[in-house]
Amino acid sequence: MDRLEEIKSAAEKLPAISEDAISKLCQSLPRLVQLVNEKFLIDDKFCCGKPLDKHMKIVKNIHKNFGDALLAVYQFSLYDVLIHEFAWIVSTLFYRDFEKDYFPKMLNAWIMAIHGTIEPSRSRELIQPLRFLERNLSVILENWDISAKLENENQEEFMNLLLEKRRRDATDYTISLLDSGYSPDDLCHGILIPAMKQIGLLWQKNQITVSDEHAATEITRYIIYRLCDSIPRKQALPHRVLVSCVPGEEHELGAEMVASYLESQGWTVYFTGHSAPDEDIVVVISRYMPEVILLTSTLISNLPSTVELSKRIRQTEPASKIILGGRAVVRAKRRMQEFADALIVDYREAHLTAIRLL
Amino acid sequence: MAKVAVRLNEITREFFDGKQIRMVLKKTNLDIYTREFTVIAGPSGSGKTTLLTIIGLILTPTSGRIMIDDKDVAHRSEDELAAMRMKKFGFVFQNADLITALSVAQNVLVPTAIQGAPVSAESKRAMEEILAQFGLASYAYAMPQQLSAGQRQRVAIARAMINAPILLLCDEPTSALDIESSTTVLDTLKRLSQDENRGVVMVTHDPRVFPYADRMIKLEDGEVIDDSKSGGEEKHEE
Repeated sequence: MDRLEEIKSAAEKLPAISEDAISKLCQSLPRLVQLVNEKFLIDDKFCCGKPLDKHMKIVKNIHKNFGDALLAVYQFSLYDVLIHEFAWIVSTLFYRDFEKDYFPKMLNAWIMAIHGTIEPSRSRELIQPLRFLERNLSVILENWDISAKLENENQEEFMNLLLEKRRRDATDYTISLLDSGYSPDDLCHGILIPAMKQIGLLWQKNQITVSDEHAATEITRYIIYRLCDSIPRKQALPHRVLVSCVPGEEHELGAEMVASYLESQGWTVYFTGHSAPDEDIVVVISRYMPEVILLTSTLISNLPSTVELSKRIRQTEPASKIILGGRAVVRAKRRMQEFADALIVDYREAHLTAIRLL
Repeated sequence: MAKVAVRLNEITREFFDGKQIRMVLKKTNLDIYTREFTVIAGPSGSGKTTLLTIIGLILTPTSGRIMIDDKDVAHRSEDELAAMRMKKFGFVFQNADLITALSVAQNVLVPTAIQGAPVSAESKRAMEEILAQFGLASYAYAMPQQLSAGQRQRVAIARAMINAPILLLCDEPTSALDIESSTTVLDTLKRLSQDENRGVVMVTHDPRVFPYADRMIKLEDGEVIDDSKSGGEEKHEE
């Protein structure tokens, strides 16, 4: 086990935080983010440490996202995930030329803001995981570099077409792979997903821009639709499924893959895409009465809204079966189980899991 | 390079509240540095002001040592403590407490005047420099009641600075100020705290202050429950 993994397993043993402290954190979160941002602005103004002026926009984003993730981590006692998320932040910012001293300063700014804003008995609880991070920061800072390699030339070729934004060529390439014997599943699992993961890593490594990543996502989405439309549908099943990203979730490619896959397996699929408000999702459910509802969440910060929506559906549509998936759900697997009838880690599990629940 | 301005070693303080002896400051070990904006935070009754007044040699601890320049000064005579207070510390309180019968310039010179000797030309020059530094030069001969609350508080800081103290000790200096005045006062204190021969220690409830802190000492029931420093790799000189 490497040292980062050792820290993650030690973090799992941190005590749970009381509901009252979490509620205080939730109420104070906008103020805390503001205080942390102000601290960096003031430090910049008075030249305390390395100036961050050119990075201030990124820094504000990071503070907001870290706060949201912190709330989810505390709510579900996902302290190992906190280490993972923080390691991701460290790595992403190192690739953007951030200095090492930013990270202890950021943790301390959070600790100071919590101590200053929330009453002592609760603030003491809330800072424990941050202190743990602080104590283990050197290990995280030593392990920031990520290696990103694809497994084969086909993945590489496809990824390059995506990065060059050659939609037509990328599509032709996938069709040629189908012709050479790849199944649609092989193509999704063996080419599309690894290439998109790699593109995510390249963004993390600051080698491509957000717009490069978005263009690649759009082309991949187009290819998925083309692929699915070209596959003869299996016999229609008498089952309906609603597939949706949870409220606030912008990453919809995974949900789209699941929706397209279930459609190819004969399901009647209602796909509501990304960022739909929970009341709208509930309306769609009551209108179409799907037997299965599949919700995906990629960001840890969206876990509270995942749970809220799941609870709401269970209340309004108790007969419907709920399946949860997506990167955040997989990371928080052990905590998410009670909020769903089943969890999936891979889109290909969706069909059999859903059938089993009916 | 930051230096230790005051070292508290195993400091405790008890009070008799009429019925029983209460420990208002439990065994405390702290180094207070120059070139730092230290905030002491905590709920009412947590011991913040007791700690500040012990650091500033106003209150004598029940036990423990206060080290300044490597010498224990905790239990020196009142006169010696008063002389040391005058030389080493500047005090700023919630209300500026300027003497209304004196001009701004005369208020700033009060700490030099009360030492007995006539105000020297050097002190006058220092007063003019400090007022200019604080953007108050044109108010030197104004009366306190002609100034805004924020300006009065800056005059109080100027007064605390006149003897070039190693620590400015501030008790809730912004809590009576509006946002704009508070920001100006805090900016002034932050700037002053960046000098390697001077530090700022502030007791406060005011969350507007926290982003200014290089270090936050959190007290609860007379005990330091957290001591956070704002990152960085700067080394302190022992």
